[in-house]
Amino acid sequence: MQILVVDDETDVRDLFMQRFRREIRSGELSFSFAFSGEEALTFLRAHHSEVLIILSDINMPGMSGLELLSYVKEEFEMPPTTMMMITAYGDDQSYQQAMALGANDFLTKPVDFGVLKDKLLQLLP
Amino acid sequence: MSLWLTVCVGAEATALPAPAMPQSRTVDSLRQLLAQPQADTRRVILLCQISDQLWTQRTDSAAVYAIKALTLARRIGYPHGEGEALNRLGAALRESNLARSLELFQESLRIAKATKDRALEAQNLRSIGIIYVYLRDREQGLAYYFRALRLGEALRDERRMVIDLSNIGLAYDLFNELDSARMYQERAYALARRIRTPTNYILYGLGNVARKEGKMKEARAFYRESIAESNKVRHLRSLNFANVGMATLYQQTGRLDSSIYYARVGCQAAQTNGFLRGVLNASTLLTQNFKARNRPDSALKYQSLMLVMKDTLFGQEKVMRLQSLNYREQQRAQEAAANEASLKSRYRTYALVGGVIGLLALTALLGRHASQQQRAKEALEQSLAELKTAQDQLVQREKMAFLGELTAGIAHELQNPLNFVKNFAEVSTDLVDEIAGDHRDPARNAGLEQEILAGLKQNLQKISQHGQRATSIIKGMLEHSRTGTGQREATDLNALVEESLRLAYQGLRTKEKDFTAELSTELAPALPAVSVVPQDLSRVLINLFTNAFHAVQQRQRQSPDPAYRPAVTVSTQAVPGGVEIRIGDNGTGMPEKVKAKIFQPFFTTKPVGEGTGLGLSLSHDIVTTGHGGTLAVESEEDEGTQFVLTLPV
Repeated sequence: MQILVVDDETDVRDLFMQRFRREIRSGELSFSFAFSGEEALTFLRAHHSEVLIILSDINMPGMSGLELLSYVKEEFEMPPTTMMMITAYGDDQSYQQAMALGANDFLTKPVDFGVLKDKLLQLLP
Repeated sequence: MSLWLTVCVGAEATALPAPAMPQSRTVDSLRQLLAQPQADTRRVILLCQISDQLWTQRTDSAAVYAIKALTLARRIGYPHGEGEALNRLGAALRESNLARSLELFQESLRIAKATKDRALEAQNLRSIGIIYVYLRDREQGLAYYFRALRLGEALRDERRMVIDLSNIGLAYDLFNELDSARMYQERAYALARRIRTPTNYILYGLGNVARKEGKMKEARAFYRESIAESNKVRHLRSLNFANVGMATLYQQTGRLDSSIYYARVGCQAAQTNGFLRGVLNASTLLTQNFKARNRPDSALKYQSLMLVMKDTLFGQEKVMRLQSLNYREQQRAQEAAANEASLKSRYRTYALVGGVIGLLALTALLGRHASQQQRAKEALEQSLAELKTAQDQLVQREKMAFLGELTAGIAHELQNPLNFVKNFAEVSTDLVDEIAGDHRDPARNAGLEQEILAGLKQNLQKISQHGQRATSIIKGMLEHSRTGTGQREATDLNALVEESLRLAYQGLRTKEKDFTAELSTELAPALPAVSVVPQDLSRVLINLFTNAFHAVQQRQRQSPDPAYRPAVTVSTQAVPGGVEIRIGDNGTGMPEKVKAKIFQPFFTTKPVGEGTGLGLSLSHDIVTTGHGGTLAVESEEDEGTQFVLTLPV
């Protein structure tokens, strides 16, 4: 299952690669990374039928995670993409906005990788 | 604590002398009526009634209907409707624009008087009274309320009297005159029960009186009833009041969890309604409670909400208070001038009559004249002092807001590196566990072992990097608070500029060896020496140069055009009253959106970890607060940026 992680912090890649080492090695999960909303859109336009889950930070310079979310929901209706938003602000407003824009889930930083792993494995076909 | 309470009920709902319109009509049924064919005058009244109903739920929607009513009334030339609509619009704008609201009420009052519409007149007297009570003008506020009450009595309009009595009670409560407050609320309550009108506000007022008298059990019962009734009639404003009252009570009795609960409910009701004062009251309580509970993040959240509300509300109130002060001052000055003129003419007459008696009288009059002048002067001085206090308070508030902004910024900035430190440490623990388990495995995999060790090393490096990142954020912060301790001295700015340019260029070249840029300097030869703190100003200059280099470097990277030559320029020149330094680059430039924010702390366009976002905010601080100068920016996207720094001589 292909997952695209969008975050402006580049070290997120190393962290995810290590956290999900076993799942990646067994081939259950496969990760791609984009370090801005713009980069994520370019990637999706090239690979959109492969990506099933997008995990995106909200607060990023340039295109924010919420903007990305609205583009994704508009442009890539098929196949349905699961969009999980991650934010350092656990505030109600971001949550409401994300849900109104059609996000499927909402996580607060620091991300509990145990919880995230369960959520991802549940989505496995 | 004192509550910033308002004093108004579904007052506007009772203003209409339309007995065929029962009050219980819902917005929906009114809208249905509006959809049917109706006479235009009737439509105006229907629009006003919809506005009344919406006012207790959503102020902005109430304003929309009031404007519709006003437009229609003016178009068909229907003065009664125009007056009614103006009053509604005033009520709906009372939170966001107090001055405009007062104007609207006064205009509506003029129409009411001209058309001898006494119910509308009473309505506006009350509305204007509310504004004066907002402004804490006890005398004027109560005067208007009592005029409204007397008119209500003359009209034998008992519904109106209930509200005016209760408003008077709430005003006395605000000024902590509890006996009067209780008396008027009890009269209001008795009358309301007799004619069966809502008591949601009255119960809240009775609750306040009981609470302030220390009768907590009684107060709780009143607030509870008020909450229940407000919920039943869906009145979000009184719901806010009663919940805030209850939260205050629990705060006073030390039951913070209950206080937080009620304050939150109150805050939500006010936010939905658009009732800023209510949001302020509730968020003030929440900030205090969360601070006492030692929950700084929640406290900060409500504190920022509180600051926003205070800015919106008290900014305009202060201006209005000052305006009315100025107005009174003008009146006093005019009186003094008139007195002086009449004194002079009398003085001449007395001089003609002459004699000792005349001279004596003259002496006495001159004495009086002097004392009147003295009084005018004192009044003037007092209003000047009030202006000064208001200004000091504004400056203080600005500082507090900045501090709040900064604290929130630090918390957020530190969160990311600390998360990484935590996460990389955790994942390393897993790796160690894995390698330890692997050792006991006879068929152990040397390749996997190597991979794990490499991963561990990488993680330790990451932990160190992110620790360093947190350190530099804190260091930047401390520098922010340390500026201004150095000594000012007469400085040759040209030398300082050249030195800073060199430092910045070399600083960058040690990191990016391939980077080159064309540097041009245009320094005015006969520049006067300027009194500055050299190390502070040098930091500003280095920061501006470094930014310029980054901008040209970025442009070069983004569009590798062989014809592009990165260039940074600096010029100095004497200008009237000071010296100007311009630092320009032909880099990427900035869109308006970025330009508007560059002096804000923690704003950065650089990649994560490269900039703290404090450089320009700090520079701005040093130049303006530290040296009394200005720092401005001009920028054109894809053309370049120019910073203009001026320093007074």
